[in-house]
Amino acid sequence: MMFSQKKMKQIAARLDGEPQYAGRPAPTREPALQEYEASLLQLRRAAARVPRAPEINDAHVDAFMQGIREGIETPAPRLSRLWTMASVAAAALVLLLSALAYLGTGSEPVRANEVESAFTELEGVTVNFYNNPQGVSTVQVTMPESDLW
Amino acid sequence: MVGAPAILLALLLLTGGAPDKQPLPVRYWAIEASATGAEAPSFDADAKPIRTLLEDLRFDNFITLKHKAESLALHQETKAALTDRYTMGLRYGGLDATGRARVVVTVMLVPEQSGDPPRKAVETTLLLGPRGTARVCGLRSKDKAEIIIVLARQ
Repeated sequence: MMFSQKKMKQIAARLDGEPQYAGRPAPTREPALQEYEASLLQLRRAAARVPRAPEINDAHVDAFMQGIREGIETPAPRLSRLWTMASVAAAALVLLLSALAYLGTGSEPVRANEVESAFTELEGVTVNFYNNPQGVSTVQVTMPESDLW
Repeated sequence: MVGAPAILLALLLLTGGAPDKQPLPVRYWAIEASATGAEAPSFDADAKPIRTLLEDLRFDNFITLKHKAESLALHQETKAALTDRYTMGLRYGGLDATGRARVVVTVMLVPEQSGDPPRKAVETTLLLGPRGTARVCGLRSKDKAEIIIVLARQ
């Protein structure tokens, strides 16, 4: 088992082209080692077909930095705009309700002038009230000639 | 941020901006009316604009003692001396449901005997529509003249 593993390392090193194995004959052709060598070769061929990962070189850095600068300079979409719109809409609603409340108070027709009450503290004095044909409310005080003057 | 001033404005409209909270502009006249036996009634310059409010009375001579435009603050009394014996107070009590202004007119009479407190010759609560007018008649003055108070809502 130990010798088999050593031979496997030698096969892999020879396939990797390590200098110490250059020109040396292949290890004993045992079926297991042959199978191992075949699997290594298959793995290498498959790995050779995998496309190489792109590399960033100096030519790419300018474009890369340009993208960063544009990202910095472009204002990010702001949530405050949404709040502003919502605030304006709410304010408009409040103003509308206020206007309705303000203008809605005069729905009843305005009535004519009226004397709600009238009285005096003076003894012997009477107070009456009436509306004349011109719609003028009149409070009539009737004072005796005596006592007051 | 925009809504805050708008809401404040709306609250002002609902509270301080409501019509019945605003001062009430009025104009009043204190007229001394007397009967002289003249064929045609006479009105002085200040009384002429309100002659239609006076000419149905039994007097023929109308002299203006006081004429003033006032802005009555809500629930505050505005006082004025009409003669040496009469003072008048006007107090605005707001609008009723139909838009009429409630105004309390108080006329105080200073007694002839000094030392006695003034007494209410008349206190009346008037409901005045827009451009409405009212008058208080019969406040006895000297030489059988009377003081007529005319109150007009502006």
